Amino acid sequence: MSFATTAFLVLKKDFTIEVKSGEILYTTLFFAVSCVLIFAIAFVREGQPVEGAGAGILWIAVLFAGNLALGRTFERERYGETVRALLLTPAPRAAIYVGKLLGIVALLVAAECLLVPMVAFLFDAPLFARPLLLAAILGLGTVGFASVGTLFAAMLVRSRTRDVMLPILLYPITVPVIIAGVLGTSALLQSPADEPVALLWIWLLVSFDVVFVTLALWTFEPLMTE
Amino acid sequence: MSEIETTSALRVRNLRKSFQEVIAVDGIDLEVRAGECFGLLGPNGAGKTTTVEICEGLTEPDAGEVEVLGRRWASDADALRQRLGIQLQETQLSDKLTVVETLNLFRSFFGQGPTPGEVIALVQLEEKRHAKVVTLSGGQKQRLALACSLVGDPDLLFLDEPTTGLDPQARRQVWDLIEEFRRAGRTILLTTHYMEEAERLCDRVAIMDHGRVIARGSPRELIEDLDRQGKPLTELRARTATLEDVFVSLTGHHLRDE
Ligand SMILES: Nc1ncnc2c1ncn2[C@@H]1O[C@H](COP(=O)(O)OP(=O)(O)OP(=O)(O)O)[C@@H](O)[C@H]1O
Ligand SMILES: [Mg+2]
Repeated sequence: MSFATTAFLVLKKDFTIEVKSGEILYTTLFFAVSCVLIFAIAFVREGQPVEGAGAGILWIAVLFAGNLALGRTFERERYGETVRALLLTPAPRAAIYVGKLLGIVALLVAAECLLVPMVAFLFDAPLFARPLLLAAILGLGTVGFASVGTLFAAMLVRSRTRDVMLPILLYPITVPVIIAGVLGTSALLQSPADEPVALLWIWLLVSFDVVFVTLALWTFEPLMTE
Repeated sequence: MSEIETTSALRVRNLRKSFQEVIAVDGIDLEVRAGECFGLLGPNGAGKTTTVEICEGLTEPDAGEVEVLGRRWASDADALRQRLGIQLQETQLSDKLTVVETLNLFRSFFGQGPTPGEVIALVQLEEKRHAKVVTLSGGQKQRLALACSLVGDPDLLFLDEPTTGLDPQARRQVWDLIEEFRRAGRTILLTTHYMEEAERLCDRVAIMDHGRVIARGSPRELIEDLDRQGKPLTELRARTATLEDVFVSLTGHHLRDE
């Protein structure tokens, strides 16, 4: 049983369930969209958005949506104890983690595809000026946040013991990723876009991601046994 | 296979596990011989599930040794998981998947074993093949969980209360499955609250209370011991003691006061 196949099977399982219910996708999308709309009502005065608000609002919407998606996904696992049942099979454990992570990232990327045009339109933000750089920043930031989030959320379903401190740890630990994401995005939104600064943040995000994903892969197995 | 496997499928020595202040398992020793059906009995909270989950490699013990099929979790976890079939107490499977999707998923993790169709037939869920798990009755879910544990053609099967909540027919079906599995020369460790189940299925049992083993032996031996001691039986009856009487006299609890 290869690593990639297992990760794919776990992803496929979540995907099959999601296709049937649509529950998490719709909650996440509607939530993210309402978030941006509320900010638009609050921060756009006489057609003039508050300067530089776009980057922050985009990231807040992504993070809130991410939090919701993580909670929902693992609530389902907790209720269904599927992760626990999977841990009893010979499936490589780190691959189970990767499968769950990919599912969350896919969900958030879907939300971002909706959010970016909305923010660009409502806040008059030139988000499409450097599409590749923006995609890199969003993608890397999402992976960083989701990698830690998936690990913590998985620990919460672990067996019967649930440590309430963990969700409180999630945000402090991912703060560097969030800051890098917001500042990188703001650099792109300046006119003209500040590419060197954006690239700097992208490299920082890459290193955060490498560290987080490595640590998560390394700790997932021991954390899953009590 | 190695020699150990032909004699002892599971060996546990001086096992301990506590959760905060609760001592769930307090230094127990167990040996399950290859090819036998071994029953772990005990009142609620006796530590059965904790013991079984340690043997399954799901929980780390605080102290003690566990040897499963002659191997240890620390060094051979992957090889072991290929050889074990595990049904958790109250396994919950994804509601939205169908019976066949669930079994396909579990089957795909094992290197060998029957096809999902074969295990579905074995647990008699053919009509429910394409039904979502959420629509199954409690007994049908239980049988699906059992099917999931059989999908890797295991040598050693762990069943934590496999028949709790089943109607008499469904219970007999599960018994038949277990007996068939045992006749094929495989080993079973099960926990149960039903003494007639233990009497019927188990070659040997261990009775646990407060994290310790307080009696062990074949159901027959335990009953004969009780008869010899001449302890009063729980009900006025002319016939000899049952395993239930043994249990009640040892633990002072009734089994089904859940
Ligand atoms: N994760 C846990 N955290 C805290 N306490 C626990 C945990 N798991 C078990 N315990 C405690 O350990 C003791 C033994 O529990 P266990 O589940 O092993 O009992 P059991 O014999 O399986 O009971 P039952 O017949 O009700 O299934 C109980 O007192 C229980 O409260
Ligand atoms: Mg139990």
